[in-house]
Amino acid sequence: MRPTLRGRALFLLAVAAVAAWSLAPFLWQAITSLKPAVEVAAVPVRYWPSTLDFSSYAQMFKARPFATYIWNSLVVGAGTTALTTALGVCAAYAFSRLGLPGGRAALIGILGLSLFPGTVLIVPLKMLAAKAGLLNTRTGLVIAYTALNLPFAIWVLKAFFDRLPKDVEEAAWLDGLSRWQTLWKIVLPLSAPAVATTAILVFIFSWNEFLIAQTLVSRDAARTVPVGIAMLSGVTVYEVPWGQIAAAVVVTTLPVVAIVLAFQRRIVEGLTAGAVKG
Amino acid sequence: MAEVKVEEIRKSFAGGKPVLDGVSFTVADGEFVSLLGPSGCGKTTLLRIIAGLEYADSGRLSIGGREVSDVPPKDRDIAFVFQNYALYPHLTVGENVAMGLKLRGAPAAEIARRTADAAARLGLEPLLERRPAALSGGQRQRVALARALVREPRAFLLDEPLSNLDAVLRERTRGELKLLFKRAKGTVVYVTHDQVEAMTMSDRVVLLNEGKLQQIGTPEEIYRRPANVYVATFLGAPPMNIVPRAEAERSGLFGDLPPGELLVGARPEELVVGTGREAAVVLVEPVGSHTILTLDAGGASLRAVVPGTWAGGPSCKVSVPPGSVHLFDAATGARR
Repeated sequence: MRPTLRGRALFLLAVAAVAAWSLAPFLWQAITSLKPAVEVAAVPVRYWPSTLDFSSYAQMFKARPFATYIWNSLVVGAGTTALTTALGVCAAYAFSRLGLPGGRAALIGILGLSLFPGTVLIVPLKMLAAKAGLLNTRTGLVIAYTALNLPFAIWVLKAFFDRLPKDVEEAAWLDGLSRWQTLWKIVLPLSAPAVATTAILVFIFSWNEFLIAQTLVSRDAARTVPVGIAMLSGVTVYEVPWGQIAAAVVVTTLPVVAIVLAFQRRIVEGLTAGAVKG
Repeated sequence: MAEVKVEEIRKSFAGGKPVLDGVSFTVADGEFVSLLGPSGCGKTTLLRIIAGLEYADSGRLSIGGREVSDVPPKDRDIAFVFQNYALYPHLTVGENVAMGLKLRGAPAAEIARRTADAAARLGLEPLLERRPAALSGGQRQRVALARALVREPRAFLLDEPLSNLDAVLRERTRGELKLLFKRAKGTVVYVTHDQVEAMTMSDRVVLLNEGKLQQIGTPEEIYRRPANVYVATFLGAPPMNIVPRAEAERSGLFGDLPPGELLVGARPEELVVGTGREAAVVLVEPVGSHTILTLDAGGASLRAVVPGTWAGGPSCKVSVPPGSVHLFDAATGARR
């Protein structure tokens, strides 16, 4: 059926409404970050700043080493994503194709482990990290995040591998590819959409994670952005530097939006290139 | 090219009934052999065992005189054409065809030459840069064949390669395939459930049912001298008439029968309509080039094929030439 003009208008209206609903908080933060300090908490509320004031950004970088935090978050995010995806792909492929004895039980076990609430894990995680000398290191965070994200990655990837036609892989063996080559040259290119989706979600998790980062890291050298934002404080305990916090939110959200958009294009490419059906 | 020898292969899946129950045969160097049988007879499993995609529970398998029962598929040097072609969706036609050569470390110039040659033989030159998703079913099938041919393997294994094509294309491709492999002097093991494919294409046919070998022979042999009732009724359209001894004698069409419990058979196309004993015409099925009659001859229900359209009335005369009578043991079904 051809969409009518009215249908199309309604559709666009609905999209605009959803977009406004989702973007409003971020927009409010962005506006707040650009307000002069006196207008941030003014009563009655001022929706638009009288002048564009970038001083919150300067102050935020002065108050805390945000460049370091952002770098740390990027390193931890990239490390977690790479490690989780690599291990997840191997494990999921093994579960999907090798017919491991007890494979099903192991999969259920993995799912069960992922049901533990994060708060339960905090204390043992801290003790483990301390024993292993990984407190205040980015490596410690990468390992913890990878462990937390692997169940999700394995389940998503296994579900995808299960749907790939087996005989394409068999054709590859007969052509002379080893198991590893088949995984690398045939399965992974065909799974690019699933792998990219998993990677994006793992990266977002890692970028936003607060609780474990707060617990395992107490020094600026390894501190990540969410904890850094929470560390912003005013001159007195009674003052909350909303302008700086808003500026920090803007600065730290933009990279992740950029990365996700870049990856998202890969997903679309992967979908069209894959075209397994036929 | 090489000889493929299958000896006493047995296979069952997870405690079930055996899928293959001691099957043996040899495909000579350069011979085209079909594995024919109904769905579930074990023919595809057997082909996958020859390829190394499954392993037999027991038995021996050799290709070119070398025992390969425990050799992984990539080292058996065979090419396999899958029923749904199993092309690499993310690679172009050219890359699909060249993959096997590339992995075997062939020099780039040779890969290019052989790919071009295979593409030319199958009319794929204009498609080399396309991805499989942009091809029709028939084109994909030809890519799958090119991928097999380019390798110049020791044997070709084909798993119902025509079953996903429409009837017209299947008819045409059948002949092309036969020529293609004849020219390549290929040893071919060809799995099909379609008796017409098996009969028209093969040097010899291996007929399987329920994991057991029923008969091996040239298409002519298994049609003329079926080894048992199963083979007799599997081949031919319509299949051979089989009646118990009592009915055969009542009909008076089959002459004197030797003693013993017998099943008596005669091919519908060998029944002679127009002379002999009186029979009632129960059903007339015109097919165009010929007509299939179902007759009642003294209580025996027999089918007969007559050329053209049936102009006769509700009854006719029918006889069975003595050379066209097949006798089978009633208990075992084996030919007597």
